[in-house]
Amino acid sequence: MDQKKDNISLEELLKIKSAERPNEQFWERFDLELNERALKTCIKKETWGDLIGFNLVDKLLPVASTVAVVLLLGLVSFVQFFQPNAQQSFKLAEASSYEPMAETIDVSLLANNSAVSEDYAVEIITLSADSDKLDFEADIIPVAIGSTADYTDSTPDTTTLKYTQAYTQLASYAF
Amino acid sequence: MIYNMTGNREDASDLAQDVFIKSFRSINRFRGNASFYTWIYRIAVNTSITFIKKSKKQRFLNYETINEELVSQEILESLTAKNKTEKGAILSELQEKLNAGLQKLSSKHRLVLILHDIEGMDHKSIGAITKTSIGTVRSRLHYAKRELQAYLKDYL
Repeated sequence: MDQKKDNISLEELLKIKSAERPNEQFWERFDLELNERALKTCIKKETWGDLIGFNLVDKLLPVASTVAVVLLLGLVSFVQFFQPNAQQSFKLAEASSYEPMAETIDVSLLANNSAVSEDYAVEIITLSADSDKLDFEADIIPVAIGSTADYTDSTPDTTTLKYTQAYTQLASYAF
Repeated sequence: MIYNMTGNREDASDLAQDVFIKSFRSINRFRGNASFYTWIYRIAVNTSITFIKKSKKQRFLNYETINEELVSQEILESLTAKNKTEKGAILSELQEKLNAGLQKLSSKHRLVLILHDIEGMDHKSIGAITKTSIGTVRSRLHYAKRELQAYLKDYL
């Protein structure tokens, strides 16, 4: 007995640890808390997102994916079918947006141009609002649209000639 | 086991509840390759070690009371005679020293020592729970005991 008292092993000391016991109140509280947590785990309320998510994933996912593929193919076909027309209409729109090449004519430049004045000196074409009221002869050349053209041999004065030359040039562009 | 691993009865209570909830939730994963006892112990071990790793800096010890009736009277008399103190005082002091000594061990060494010397498991069962060989269990047990013995030399 005295020998044992002097030689206590580590294993014997560790057995004291197994004698540590919580009291009854601890176990009651433990059981209560565990039941609460187990119930919370069981009756965890599912959100709408969860419910919808589950239904969609389980049932509607194949349908949704098929519809998506069909729509994608349809969109690609639509684009390919209408692509030439789209390009054409784009070109037309682009062309219509261009400004006329010669919107205004510098009359003074034309007046000083001897070549122009030589060829069309006798043709006087003016643009006026009441031009359509005039009675043209049958043999009048249609280039003089609405014009009070003077087809006589008389030499025009300088001022008249200057404007005449300009309108003559304009008329030549028109033809 | 969880209590001895953590050294705190409140933590042990929470973790034990976690273990039961986890077991309840993942019962369908139990394939019967090991015994249910081993399976639930493994969950407890993993839960405890994860907790210890996470709360390394914040831990403090909080003991359960020792039931003197369960302690060998022979050992108790030896201790009181050796330290010349009364039973209650020496038990309380020893408990504190044992818990502190256990917490000084690494979690792997502590686990093996607890399972073997406090829970009373054999090497094979411990190997199954910790997923290690019997040799590894023995080795860890040897080093754990040597370290704890050095810490508790005043009582041995």
